[in-house]
Amino acid sequence: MTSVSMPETRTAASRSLPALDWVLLLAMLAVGGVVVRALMYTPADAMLGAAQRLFYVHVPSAILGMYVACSLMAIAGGLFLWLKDERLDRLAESAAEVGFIFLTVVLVTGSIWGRASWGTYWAWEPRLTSALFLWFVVLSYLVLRDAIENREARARLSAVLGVLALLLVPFIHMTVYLFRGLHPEPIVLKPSKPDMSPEMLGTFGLSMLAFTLLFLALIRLRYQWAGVRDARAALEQS
Amino acid sequence: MNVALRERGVLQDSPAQPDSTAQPDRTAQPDSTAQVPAPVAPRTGPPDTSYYMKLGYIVAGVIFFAYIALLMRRVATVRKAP
Repeated sequence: MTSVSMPETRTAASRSLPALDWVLLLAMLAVGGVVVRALMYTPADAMLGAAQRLFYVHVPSAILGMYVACSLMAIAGGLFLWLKDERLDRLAESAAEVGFIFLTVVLVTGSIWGRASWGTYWAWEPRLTSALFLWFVVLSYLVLRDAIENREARARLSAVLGVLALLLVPFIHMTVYLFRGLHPEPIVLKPSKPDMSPEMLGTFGLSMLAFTLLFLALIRLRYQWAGVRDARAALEQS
Repeated sequence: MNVALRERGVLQDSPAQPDSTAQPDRTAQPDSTAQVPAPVAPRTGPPDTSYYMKLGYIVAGVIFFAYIALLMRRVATVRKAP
């Protein structure tokens, strides 16, 4: 580090970020293909009609935003508290931001689907309210990171909040079993087989793959960008 | 099924009751609308919720594209920096 001059290091850090991220491009093409399949080649639900096709965006976004992103944020944050490795803090930060986007999509698509099936965009029922609460917790995680100048304190406090956020996830999953509300019980994430026709299940499997690829591509790019940002900040301070 | 229940005495016709809503003052008028069939919508399958489907996909697409654009802008800013 000391043998490399500042401009050289800065250029090398910037070069690690590609102008065109082929993984992200591939993920976007995969999501586009799944959307075409969902809208044009998958039958509509006999009871709910075409609005049921929001399932192929809503459920993968929920699984990735709530279960995967929050777990990643908490595990990386928890490991940071133990190992004090800045890469873990960057991973937790990236998971929180990308997870926040997926959670926003979950709330918005769920609200629109609710209008079609329940007749209202929003109801203060347990599943929806607890999911909104998680959305605010992740938002507060991101706001907290922006508010604290000291890097060590920022990483430590946000790691604690990230671990606490994960505690909400099992509760949110169980709300449909514990309380009587509007939201149906899980169709996919349950011990028995999914209650779907083979065509719908096939489209759901593909959408799960495509959105997982998009999720990983976004996390990867966000993590790389955070690395360059931190390297530049360290150089400017030194 | 109703016939079987009637034979077994489970289901019985109720005795005729006087019509409490009858209005003897008014003269019975012929129903002029009797010739027109009742306006019952034909049952044609699931409700048309395609508007909500399109709205949901468009809004989700806008959210994802906006975030991807934000990331691209961040990357471009870092790459342009000296």
